[in-house]
Amino acid sequence: MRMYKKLAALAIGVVYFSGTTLLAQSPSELEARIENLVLAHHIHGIDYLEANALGPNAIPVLLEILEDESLKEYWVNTVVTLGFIEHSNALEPLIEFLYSREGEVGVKTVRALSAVPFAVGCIASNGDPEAFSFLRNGAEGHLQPGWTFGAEDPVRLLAGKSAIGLAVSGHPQGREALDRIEQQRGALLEDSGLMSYVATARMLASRLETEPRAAIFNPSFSERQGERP
Amino acid sequence: MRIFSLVAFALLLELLLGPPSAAFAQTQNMTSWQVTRHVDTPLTQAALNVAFEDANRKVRLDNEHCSDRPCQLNIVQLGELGTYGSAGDGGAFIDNESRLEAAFNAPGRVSVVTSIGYCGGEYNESIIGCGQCSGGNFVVEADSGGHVYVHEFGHNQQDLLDCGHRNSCDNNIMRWQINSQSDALTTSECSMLTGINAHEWCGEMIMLSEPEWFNWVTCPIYLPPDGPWNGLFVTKPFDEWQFRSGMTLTSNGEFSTPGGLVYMYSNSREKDLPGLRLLENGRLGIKNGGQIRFD
Repeated sequence: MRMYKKLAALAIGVVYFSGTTLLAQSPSELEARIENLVLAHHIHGIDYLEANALGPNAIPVLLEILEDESLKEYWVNTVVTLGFIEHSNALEPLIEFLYSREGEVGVKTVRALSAVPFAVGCIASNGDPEAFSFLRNGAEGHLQPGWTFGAEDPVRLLAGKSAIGLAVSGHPQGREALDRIEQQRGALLEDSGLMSYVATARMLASRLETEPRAAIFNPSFSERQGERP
Repeated sequence: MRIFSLVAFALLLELLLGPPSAAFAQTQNMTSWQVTRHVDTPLTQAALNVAFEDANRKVRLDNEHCSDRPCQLNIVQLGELGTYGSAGDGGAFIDNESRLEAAFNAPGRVSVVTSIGYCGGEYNESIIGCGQCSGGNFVVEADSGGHVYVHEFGHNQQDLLDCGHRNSCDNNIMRWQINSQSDALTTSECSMLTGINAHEWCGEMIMLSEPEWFNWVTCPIYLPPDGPWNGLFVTKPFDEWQFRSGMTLTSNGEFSTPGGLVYMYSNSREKDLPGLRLLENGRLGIKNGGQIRFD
């Protein structure tokens, strides 16, 4: 009996000190965290650590925001947050969102749509093969959305964003894909306007080999480490 | 005691939007920004006016939540809204170093684009502003509020937080994350933004001789009926008085301006601020110890 009580106390202690990762927070608490994070404008971008900590339970709530036209000014935040959670449950809904619009879209919508490859790249950090397949297709110019935005070429836009997505995966598959793009497309990169994207992608991929992901996504990450008053 | 309540006239909007008179301009600190948009970024002059109005309000009003100081800085647009880039060149989306450089090299201080995903070596598709550290340019997304313009302008200023942020209070305009409520500036930040800090009036009895032209009233003003002033408060034309919410003007006399506009308003956070404007040779009488309370 004594051993039983000791084991019970140990189990309770493990659960208590493990915090919210084991003890499920209430839906209202999660929704409040999502609302505070996503339904606000962030001058330096959504906080990666805060978004990542929401966990996969946040995905259904975030997807509801993407279906609410009245919240479209926060759609880009929602897409980024779905990416920062880095869970494959968000992959298919994000790709569906990319193809959900037809015709000319507005500024707020195009921000969110064009952010999908970046979000998929973040999901690809977990090695998801479907995510890499999407990004390779995109970087090769095979994404054909039904929407337009002024004089912008959406295929070229998404190709560049997909190159960035491959980079922010921080995964060897992403770097290998970038290598293939440069080798296979060569001079075409300059003509297609993708060279500047590939250069930036290379820089991001290189940094991700040695720095934490938060340092790439939030410019104030290093500053906050020192908690400047 | 009779209490008078102010009726909202939206005079502050007129103050901020109307072109300053020559005299007003001479006594104000002004910063002029030339603004260009990427040719593929939709932005109207009317929308830009709203952003500038918001920026002016943000720096000039006291934020009672955080340690803040009203900052007299008139942010005006230099010239007409221009464009840069060419149609379909992709430059409306700042998502790589090359396009960021193009935006910074566009004519003027402010470049407005459709989307910012890349800034200073970092990548995040939800970024909405990017400023050159101790430089002459900043980039904002179309439909950004005035707080974004002021924040990025802050990064342009040499020595202002070493291009960093001040995170001591939620509504600091130089906090690393800001929102539409962000408008708190310190006196040094105001100075570095090329503004003038408001002269603070506080005290139960104020004998006014030569008031500063930009006054921030943090304690009630009492005009004594007796003595050299005989209850009469005279201020200079184009002086500006900002009353912290809840402050009062108590007198048994008159408040007047001899020959020009004087603006008095509460720093209420409401959009259409209640204000009082004494026109040329205007006089406002308060009798029997009455009060004007600025809410």
